[in-house]
Amino acid sequence: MLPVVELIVLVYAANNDMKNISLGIVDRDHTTTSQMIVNRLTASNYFILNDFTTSAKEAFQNLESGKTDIIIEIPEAFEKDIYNNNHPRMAITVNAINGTIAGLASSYAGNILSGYAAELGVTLAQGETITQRSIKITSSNWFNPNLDYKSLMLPGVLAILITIMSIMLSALNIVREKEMGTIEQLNVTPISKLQFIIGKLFPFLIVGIFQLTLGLLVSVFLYNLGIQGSILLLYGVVSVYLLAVLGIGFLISTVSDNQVQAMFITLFFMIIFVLLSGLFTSTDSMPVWAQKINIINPTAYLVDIIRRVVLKGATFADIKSQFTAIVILGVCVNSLMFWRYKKIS
Amino acid sequence: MNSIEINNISKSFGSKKALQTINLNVEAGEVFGLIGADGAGKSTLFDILVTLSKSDSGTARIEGLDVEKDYKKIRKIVGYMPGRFSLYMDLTVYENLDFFASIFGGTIEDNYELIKDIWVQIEPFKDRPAGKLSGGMKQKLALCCALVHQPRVLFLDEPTTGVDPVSRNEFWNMLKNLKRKGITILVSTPYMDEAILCERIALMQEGKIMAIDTPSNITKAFNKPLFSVKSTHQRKLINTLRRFDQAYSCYFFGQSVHLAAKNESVSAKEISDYLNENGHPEIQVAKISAGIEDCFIELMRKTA
Repeated sequence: MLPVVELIVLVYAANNDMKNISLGIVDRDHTTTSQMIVNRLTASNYFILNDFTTSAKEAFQNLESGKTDIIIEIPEAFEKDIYNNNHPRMAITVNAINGTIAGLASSYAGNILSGYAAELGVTLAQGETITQRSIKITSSNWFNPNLDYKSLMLPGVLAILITIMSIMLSALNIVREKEMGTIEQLNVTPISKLQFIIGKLFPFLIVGIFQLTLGLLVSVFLYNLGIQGSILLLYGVVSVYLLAVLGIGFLISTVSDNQVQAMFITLFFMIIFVLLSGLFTSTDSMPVWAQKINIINPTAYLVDIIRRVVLKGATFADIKSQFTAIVILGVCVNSLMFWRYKKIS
Repeated sequence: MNSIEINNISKSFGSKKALQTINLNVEAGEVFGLIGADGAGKSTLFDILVTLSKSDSGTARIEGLDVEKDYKKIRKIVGYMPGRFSLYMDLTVYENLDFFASIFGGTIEDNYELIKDIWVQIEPFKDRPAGKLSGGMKQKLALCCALVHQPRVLFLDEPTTGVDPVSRNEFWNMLKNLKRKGITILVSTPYMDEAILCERIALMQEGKIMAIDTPSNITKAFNKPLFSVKSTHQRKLINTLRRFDQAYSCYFFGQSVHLAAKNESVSAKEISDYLNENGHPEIQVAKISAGIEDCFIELMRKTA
């Protein structure tokens, strides 16, 4: 049940679409043009007009107090400058404490304003840079036509949930046996290392597969997400992936003496894996060293694969390189774990 | 034939010498006790014998099998009950037993004969999670699980620690029954009163064995006259006795003070007269014969 709740909460919460940006307008022009600009801005879903004044100082105070996120200042004689072709200027001031909001808000506002400016046939100054828009660019979003952020997040969050659950379960399991002392009792029995590890891996593999099923059901029935690719491929990849991350979990449990220690080591890896996975920010925009780390980050591969298969309908041939990487990681981690795990201390 | 042979086993943890050249033989079918306080090295020795850890030097054989080379074979023929209750708390009594039987490739039915006497006592609780059993019941279940594969040698590490006196008694009776079935039993305990229930014992202290013999021979070896002295004020009493010129050693022993005298000639009267002179009220002095604990304290004095 918990993963389902997480899937529902996380997808909505980790939504990067900006709506309801609080807008402040300083209109010192009071003309039809300035009125049109304000109308354009508020007509979009993005902005809510929260402050309308003629004093720049007052507007800035509101920005400081957090009442508004962005100020658009229309100077005196703005309309006159336009018609006299006198390089009209206007200012956009954004509260950049939250960089994401700031970037999105200014680019939304910039787009709206330049659209309007294009109609008027004038260029628009945005901060210091003056953009000459001689070429009009229109973009369309493939594989996620409505740019629905949820469709992008959902497969990624699913990948993360599977990862967290499996690593936690496996890392804590053997350590728990160590704490309880039951591992000693098992170690004096004739069962072999391989039997022990397989016995430990398979129940968790089944739990992970079950979780994937649950997540896919939620995606399809709650979010109406159409799965484009082969479900069988998805299950195959996730099974192999699970063996790799369960191996990481067991490796952690062989080097820790108690559950708290195992928990901290797990968190250390989890945070790195998740933040670098490309779930929240694209891996391509990460610094080179982060991209290098991602070579050994199984989660990055899985997020990529699940997105490709679910959203794009990728076939095995399309994801072969990522899949191979997961297989190699899995083999390495599991051999290391097999070597580290000893029945004799 | 010796069931357990230990030759010059040593093991250290960092600078702490946990075991120092231990030599010990346990005969087949014997109930052998390792007696020592916490930290004497009993559990470390157990770990080596049941192949859970390796010694730094020395060799040990269980039923003729080397603990390092033949550890796989040893694991099939020994039963081990760790000091801490270590069964699966969330499995029921029956599931635990069934699990351990199946790990050794057997079933409860195949091995029922050996565990029958103990199993009937916990059978009424067989559907209860093991974590919810009382201390004595847990011990019985742990013993069942250690026996379910019919081991030839049984290692019991402090099986009665934290168990009530009645259950302790029952437990020792069960061990006697097992001995009759020809199982060699090595049992460790910090309780000196349990030592006399073993056929032979080894007294351990700081990783060394101080004495190995039958309990009666060990107490016989105590060659000083021993007195139990009681008065109202224990602390004052022991200080006065320590100044007594005939005192060899004296120490608290429960409610009384035990005094070992230097000479056979010292009498109880002499001691009570001495205490009277020093103004102690309600003096009781009685000559007693030494118990295992007295011998243990004496051996500690000698080795210290």
